[in-house]
Amino acid sequence: MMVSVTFIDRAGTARQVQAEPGSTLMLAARDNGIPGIVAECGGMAACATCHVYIDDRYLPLTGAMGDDEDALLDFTDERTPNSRLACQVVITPQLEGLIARTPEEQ
Amino acid sequence: MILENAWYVAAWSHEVTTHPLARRLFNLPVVLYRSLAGQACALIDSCAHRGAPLSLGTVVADGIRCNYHGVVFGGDGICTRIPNQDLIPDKARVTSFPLVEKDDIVWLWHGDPAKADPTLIVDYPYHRDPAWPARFSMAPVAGNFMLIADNLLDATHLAYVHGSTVGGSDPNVHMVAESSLKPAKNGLRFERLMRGAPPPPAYSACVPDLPKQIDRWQEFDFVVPSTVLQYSGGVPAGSDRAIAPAPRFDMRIFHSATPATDTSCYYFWSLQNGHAIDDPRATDVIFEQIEQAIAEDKVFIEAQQLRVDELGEERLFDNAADAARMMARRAIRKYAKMSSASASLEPA
Repeated sequence: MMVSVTFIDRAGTARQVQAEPGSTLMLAARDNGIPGIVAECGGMAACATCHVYIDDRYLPLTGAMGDDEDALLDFTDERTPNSRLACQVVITPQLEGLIARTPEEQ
Repeated sequence: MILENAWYVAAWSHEVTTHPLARRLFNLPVVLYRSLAGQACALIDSCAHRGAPLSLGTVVADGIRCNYHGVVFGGDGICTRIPNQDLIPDKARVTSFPLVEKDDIVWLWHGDPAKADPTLIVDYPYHRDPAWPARFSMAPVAGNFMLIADNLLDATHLAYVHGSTVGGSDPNVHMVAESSLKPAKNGLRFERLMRGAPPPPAYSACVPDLPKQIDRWQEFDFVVPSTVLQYSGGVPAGSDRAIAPAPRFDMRIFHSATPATDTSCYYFWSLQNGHAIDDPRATDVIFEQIEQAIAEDKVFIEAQQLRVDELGEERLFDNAADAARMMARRAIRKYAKMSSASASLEPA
C-alpha cells in the first residue's frame, strides 16, 4: 500500500507522489524528480541537502531525530522547528497525506 | 578554483627575512621579504621595468632593488628609485598584497585589497605559548589545496593511511568514534572521542608508559578557507582529561593549505607538544611522528589528484564519514556568498 505525500516548493507548486513504506521521504522525492531536493550524499545524513519542512500535523509522526541529523540541520541557513532531513524520515502508513515544503536553497 | 577575499598563509614569520623568498601563490609569482625596518612585504615577483624576478634582488633601505637594472620598489609596490633618473613614471609599480603577521604566521589577503579585514584571521596563541613548545614545517603537495582539509576532516583514513603512526591499525576504533559536529564562525568544530582504544604507535613512541587502553580525542576547528586547528591526545581510559596526570599524550597541530596552482599547494603545519613541555627531545619525537604521518597523507593526496585530473569528480560518492568535509564546503560556499567572491569551490 503506497503512501501519498506532497512536496510544496517555494513558489507554492504542490507535487503529490506515492512513497513506499519502509523507504524514505528523500527517496520518494528523488525517484519522482522533485526539484529542490539535492540529496548529494545519497541518504547518509552527511550533506544536509535534502532539508524539508514537515507540516505541523505530521511532524510528531516522523519519529525522533538522530544526533547526526540534528547537527547537520544546524548548518542549514533556514532551520525551523519543522526542519528534517528527508533522508532520515522513514515512510510509514501514518504519514499518508504528509506535506513537506522545500527550502529556498539546499 | 580558489576562494577569493580570504586570508591564506603565505609563510611562517621566520621564513620571511631580508633575503627575498620566491613563492607561487594563486597561480602568480610572489616575492616575500622583510624590509630593513622589519615589515613583512609581498609583491608580484617581477620588476615593472623589464620583468626580471624581484626575488633575485636585494632588500635595501627604501624597498627591494631589482638586481637587473637597479630599480627599487617599496613595500606598497610603488617605485621609489630609478638609477640616474629623477622622474618616476606612473607605470613604475608592481602589485602588492596585504599582509598581516600574527602568531608567527604571515597571512596574505587574496582578493580585493579594500575588503582585507584582519579580524577575519584566526587566532593561534599556541605558537608563542611556553606551555606548548612548537616546531614548524611546510610540505609542498602536488594536489589542490582543499584536499588537505578534506583529508583532516575524514578521520576514518587514520587506520588505513596511518596504521603505523598516528592511526593505529584497527579501523573499527575510528569508525565507531563518538563524534560531534557543530557550525562555528566561518567554519565548524568537529570532535571525536574514542573510549578505551589502544594507543596508536605514535602516541606510544612519545609516551612509552601509556596504558593499553586510553580515551583518545581529536578536535578539529576548520576555518575558511583552508585552516584546521587540531588538538589530539589520550589519557588512561576512564580518567578525566582536564586533570589527569602523566602518563598522558597531548598535541596540537596547526594545519593550513595555500594554493600554489590549481593542483598544487603549500601545506603549512606546526606541532605543539603539550605533555612533556620541558623536554625538547619529546617535542622532536612527536614532530617526527607527525612529519611521517603527513608524508603518508601526501602520497595519497597526490595520487588522488592525478586520478581526479584524469577521470573527474562526478563519479565520486560520499559516505557517512564525509559529513564534516561536506559541511566545511558548505561553510566555504557561505563565506563566498557573503564576501560576494566568485569561486567554484570544488577541487580542480
